[in-house]
Amino acid sequence: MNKVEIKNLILKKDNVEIYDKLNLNICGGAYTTIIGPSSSGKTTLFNTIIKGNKNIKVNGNINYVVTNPDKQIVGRTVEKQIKFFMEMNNYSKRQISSRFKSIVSYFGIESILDNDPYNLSLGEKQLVVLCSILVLDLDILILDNALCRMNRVMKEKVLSYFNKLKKKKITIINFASDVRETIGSDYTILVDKKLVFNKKTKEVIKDNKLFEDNHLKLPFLLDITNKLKYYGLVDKNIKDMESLVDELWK
Amino acid sequence: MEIVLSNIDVCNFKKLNLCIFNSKVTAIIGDNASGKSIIGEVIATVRKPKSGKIIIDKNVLDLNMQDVNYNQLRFDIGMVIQNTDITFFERTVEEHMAYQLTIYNYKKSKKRIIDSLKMVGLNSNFVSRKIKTLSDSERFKVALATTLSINPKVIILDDPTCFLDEANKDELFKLIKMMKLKYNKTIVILGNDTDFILRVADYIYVINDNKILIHGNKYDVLTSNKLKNTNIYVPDIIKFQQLFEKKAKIKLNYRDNVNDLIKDIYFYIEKKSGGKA
Repeated sequence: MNKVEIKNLILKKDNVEIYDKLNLNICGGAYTTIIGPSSSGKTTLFNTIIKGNKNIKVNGNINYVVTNPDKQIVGRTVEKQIKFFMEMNNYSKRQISSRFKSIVSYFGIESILDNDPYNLSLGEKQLVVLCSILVLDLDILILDNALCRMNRVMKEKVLSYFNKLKKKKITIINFASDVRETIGSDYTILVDKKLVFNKKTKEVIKDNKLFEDNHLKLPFLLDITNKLKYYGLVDKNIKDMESLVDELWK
Repeated sequence: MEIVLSNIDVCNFKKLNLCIFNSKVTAIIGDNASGKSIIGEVIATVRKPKSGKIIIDKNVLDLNMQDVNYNQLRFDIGMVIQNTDITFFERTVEEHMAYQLTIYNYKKSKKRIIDSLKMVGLNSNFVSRKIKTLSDSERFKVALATTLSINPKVIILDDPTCFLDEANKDELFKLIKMMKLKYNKTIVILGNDTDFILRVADYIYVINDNKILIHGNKYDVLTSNKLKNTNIYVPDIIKFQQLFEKKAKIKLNYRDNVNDLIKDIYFYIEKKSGGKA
């Protein structure tokens, strides 16, 4: 259900081949993060999935959010923007007002509801556009680096909202340039002009070698623990910063 | 170039005082919608404040924008805006950059274009690429190269790291360092990527609730208790050093990279155990 299957996809851009026979299965009802270095073809893949291609099988409706929020702003006020897509799809008035209220209170954006979306900062615009999509009945939600302008606190709030969506069996595919956005996702996929790996996030985080081989930046705690091990100051993996300090300074 | 904003009223800001130091990297951080970009525009003298004084290298600027100095200021202050998605789509990179050069009365020189593209890490094949076929990070780099090609004294970067991966962030870090040390440029960074700002900035202003919450040396600002009530993320490396200080009851010299930090920790642990570690 709601899965995306890519088989033998060949993609070209400016007559330069980006993907040669890409095979990729994205599980239905799960939350997948697709990461990769800059200009590794993430946006090209995103565009191909939303436009449709004979080599891509999609079960279910696709809703998407692009990087530049200006492209998806249609309402004259934030309130109208968030309600717009629901009104377009003939949702009942009761549904519209209840969903609107719950998303507004979750993200705490009551104070900007009467503003013109064009006058907001880019981080707020991204949040408002995302909200207007999240209120819909979703099958598949695809984001193309749509959280990049938000600050980290808001980003974590959005990511924990995605975790709530998982229970509703919604497939979420997040193309991200920030490796930290993988936290909380079920699967992590790394693309670099080909499929490098498609693994459960739990396994990826444990595997230091995978990070080093692919020039990804280790999270701070893993990085410092590895280096402290090298100097013989600690000898095991540690789950948080407090216990690392306790271990160091006995 | 030193830029001082004194008692500036603009949008929701009242009596704003701020100083951009000559050949230093100054960062202005704040929550989404805190007004970072507005302050950036005032510093770039493209947004007119309601009242107050802008003092550039000890000369007070006429706020009515009638001043002849404004033409010169366009050459001296370069800004890379946040939304590089809106630059001319159908043009090639060379056409775009050459157009920018002619606006600034420079000769269209291919060498100049290629040199500035090389500075940001793009090779000479890029000159014939169309801007619409570039990826977001490449588009940002072209915007940065365009600004550099005019050779301004002040470079303002608005949220520069948002499309960049770690390798590109390292490159940008080296570029900013080189600009500061070798060419004596004054650099202003607006954004909320505190991990990157910790590495690169000398001086930090924190904006919250339409005023400057704190400003100072980067370590003083990022270790301050005042940040607890804001949405600003304190980098993990700073949090770790604070925890270590608390536990070991030692005053650390704060570090911005793990390698230096580990040498310090090794030193203190060896000292504690009397050279047995």
